[in-house]
Amino acid sequence: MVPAPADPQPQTLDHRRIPLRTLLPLVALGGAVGALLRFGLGELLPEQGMKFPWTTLLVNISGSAALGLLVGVAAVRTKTPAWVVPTLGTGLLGAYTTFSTIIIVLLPSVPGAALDSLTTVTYVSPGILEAGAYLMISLIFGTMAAAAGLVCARGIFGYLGQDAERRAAGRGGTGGPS
Amino acid sequence: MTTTVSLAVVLGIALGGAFGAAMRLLLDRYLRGGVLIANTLGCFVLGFLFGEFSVLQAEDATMDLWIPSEPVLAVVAIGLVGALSTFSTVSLRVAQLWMDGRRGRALFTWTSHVLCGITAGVLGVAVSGMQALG
Repeated sequence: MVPAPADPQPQTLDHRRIPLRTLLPLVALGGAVGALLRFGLGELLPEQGMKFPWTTLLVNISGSAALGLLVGVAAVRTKTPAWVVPTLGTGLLGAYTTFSTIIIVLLPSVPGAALDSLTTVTYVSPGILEAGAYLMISLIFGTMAAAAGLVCARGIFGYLGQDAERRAAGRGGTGGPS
Repeated sequence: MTTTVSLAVVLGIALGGAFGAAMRLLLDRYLRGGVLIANTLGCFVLGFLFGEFSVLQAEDATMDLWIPSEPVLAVVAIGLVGALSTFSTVSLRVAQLWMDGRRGRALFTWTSHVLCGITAGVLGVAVSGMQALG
C-alpha cells in the first residue's frame, strides 16, 4: 500500500480518495467483524429483560470513543495508509455501533402512534420521559466519547500544550507531497 | 429479540454486517446525507422487523401471513440492520462540528437523525402486519 498523502483536511472519515473496488471488500470485512463484536457483547451482556438496551449504549459509547481515537491518530500520524481509517472507521466501528436500536426503544412511547404491542417484544415499556432520557444519554455521552477520543489522540500522539501549533508546524513532513 | 448461537447465526450476522456496511459506504459515497439515509432506512427496516416479530408473538396471528421465523428476524436485525445504521460516524461528526464552534449544525445533525429515525420506525411498524391484528 502506498502511504497516504498528508491529510489536507485533518480528522475526517474521508474515503473518497480510495478506489471503490479496493474499499468495498475491506469495508464489508470490517462490517462483518463489527456486527459480530456487537453480537458477541450482546451475548455476554444480554439485553433481554432490561428496561433499556444498556449493552447497545455501551457499544455506542465505546465505538464512538474508538472512532475518535482512530481518526485523531490518523490525522496526527500522516503516514497511516489511506485505507485504514475507512476500513476500521466506516466498516468495523460503523457496523459495531448502531442507531436503529436506540430509536426502536422510543417507539412504544411515541404519543398517538398506537404501538403498544411493540412493548411485548422490545424492552419493558418505558415512559416517554425515561425513553427521552435514554436517548439523551446516548447522544450526549456518545458525542462526548468521540470528542474525548479525538482529543486524547492528539494529546498522546500529537501536541496539545500551549505551544502545540508551533511544534506541529515544526514537525517534518506536515505539508506532504503536493 | 434473542437467538441461540450457532454457526448459521454467526455466518448470517457476519454476512449481514458485511452487506450493511457496504450499503452504508455506497450511500455515503454517492449521496448527500448518505449516512442519514442509511440510518433512516435502518430504522424503517427495524421497525418493520419488530412489527413482524410482535405478530409472531401474538397467539392468534397464524393466518396465512408468511413471516420469517424468529431467529431469522433476529439475525437480520442484528447483522444487516445493525450494521447499516451507525452511531459512531454521526457522533464523531457532531463532536467535530461542536468543537469547531458550529454548534447549531451539530444539534441539527442529531435532531435530523432522531426525527427521521422515529418517523421511519413508526412507518416500518405500520407497514408490517400489525394492522392485520385489528
